[in-house]
Amino acid sequence: MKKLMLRISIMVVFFCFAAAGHAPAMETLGGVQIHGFISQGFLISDEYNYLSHDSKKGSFQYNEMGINFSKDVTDKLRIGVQVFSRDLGDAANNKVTIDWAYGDYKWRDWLGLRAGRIKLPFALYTETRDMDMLRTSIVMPQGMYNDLTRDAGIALNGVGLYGYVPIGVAGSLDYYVLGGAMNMDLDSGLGKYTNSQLTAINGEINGQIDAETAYAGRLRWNTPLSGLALNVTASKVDMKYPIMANIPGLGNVQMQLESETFVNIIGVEYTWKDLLLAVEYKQQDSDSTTTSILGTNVSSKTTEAYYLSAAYRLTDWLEVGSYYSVTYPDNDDRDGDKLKAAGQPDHGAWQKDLALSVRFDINPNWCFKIEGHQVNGTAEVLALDNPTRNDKTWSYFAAKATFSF
Amino acid sequence: MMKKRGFCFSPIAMGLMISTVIMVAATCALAADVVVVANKSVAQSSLSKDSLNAIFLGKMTSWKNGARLEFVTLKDNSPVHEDFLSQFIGRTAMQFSNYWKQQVFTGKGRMPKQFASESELIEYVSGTDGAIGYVSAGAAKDSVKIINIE
Repeated sequence: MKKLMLRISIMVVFFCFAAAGHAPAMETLGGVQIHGFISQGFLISDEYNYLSHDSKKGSFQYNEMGINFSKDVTDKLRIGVQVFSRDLGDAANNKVTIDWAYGDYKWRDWLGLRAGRIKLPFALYTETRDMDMLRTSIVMPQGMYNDLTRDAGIALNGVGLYGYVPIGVAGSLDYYVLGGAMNMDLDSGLGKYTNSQLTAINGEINGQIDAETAYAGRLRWNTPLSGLALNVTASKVDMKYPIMANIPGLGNVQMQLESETFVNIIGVEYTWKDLLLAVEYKQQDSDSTTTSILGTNVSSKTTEAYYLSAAYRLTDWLEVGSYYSVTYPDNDDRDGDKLKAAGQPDHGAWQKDLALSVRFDINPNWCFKIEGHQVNGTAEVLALDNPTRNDKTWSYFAAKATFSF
Repeated sequence: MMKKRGFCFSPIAMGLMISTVIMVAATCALAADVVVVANKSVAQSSLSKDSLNAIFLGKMTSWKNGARLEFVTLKDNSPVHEDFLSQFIGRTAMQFSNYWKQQVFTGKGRMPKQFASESELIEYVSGTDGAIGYVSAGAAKDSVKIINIE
């Protein structure tokens, strides 16, 4: 009941601003700044239910909203919190969460400390992925920014050190290192995604995901060429969770999975006038140990993903963009031979997505976007939502309206 | 064949040279149009372009002597704002606004203080220790200090 009331309160605040049409940031008593956003999207696909469990019929279960409060306590100390909620088909379901909440003490420009619930600086855009108005596309390249597993890499509860270091004629560096524990909420979409991967052994998670140790770091080199930046991120996350699997002849078998995952991402961003180009490459190495009455099974897997994107602002109100993203969930089976041998379609070994987006900025507070995707491969098509996956090529369409202040 | 290629190349080379001259001339014209101004309490009288960029992106938050630094801007629809960003920050007004929204929605910063007119900006800068902003060359007044950009 409390959650419902909180959800309703957030919606009411937003619609009050939306009704005002053009709303500046609020600055209330005591210098507290308040900003927020709300997005409502629509997804429709032809062959598969994608992202939303019922997208083939067309789904409005696709939204994000957030509101933040922040205050400069002193010249060097800043505190803030953002409350966030989203819906993605039958996942997340507008559960209200704390997106970030931390204190930020900037001792010098080259050294600052953040403590609390801190956004993870994965890749170029993980920190801002929930704010639709900050990019051209609606659905981000899923190999890099998977919407269902968002919570596996969005924030941690811990501490971080950051700073800005000029390096003379070579430009400047921004660094950020952090460590802590992660909250893995199974309702966020992560549970659904993981259970879908476990359909091959008729298994599902039957407990909580424990991720008490996570480390991440980012180094961004702002090169001497204006607008050109190189971004490198690395992270290590340890997880363990229980699985109940139904093994033919044995019935239900309780398993314990422990994994160690390393994610390395390199990206380049170049801005020239109204043109924004970006390219990113990710390699994820996972070492897993599964323990059960059947014994111990050790396995390793490397996942690879990359994308290239371009966006160009034509006028104050019109922007176009496109990206091409590629994902290989198992780098040792890029052509799908192993899947084929196991009686599954080979196109489950990859997903190649060509997207075209158009963004309309109605005013500084409102934007509307439409987007089409042509996809080859079904690597990120969930077995749970699509028991049969026979079509190699398919497409989907998205539209989204966002209000922010 | 070689002769034909040479014939084709010449107009392109001429075009590029003319475009370059026009762009350089335009840049020089802009450089003369916008001046960076600061409160008279600021000890520094010059800044590198990189430092100015770092200030307006919120990465440099204090002056060399450790004094508090606050940057302010004109509103997004101001031509002087566009010129300043294009010349010194390498971003359009939309990109600059987006950058600051990214800071705000990740808790890393607050939106810069913005002014609707140059006279309001000068009044604020002249009355605020450590403040820095920019105006068109003709709008600069004795109440503020002009900062040379190297």
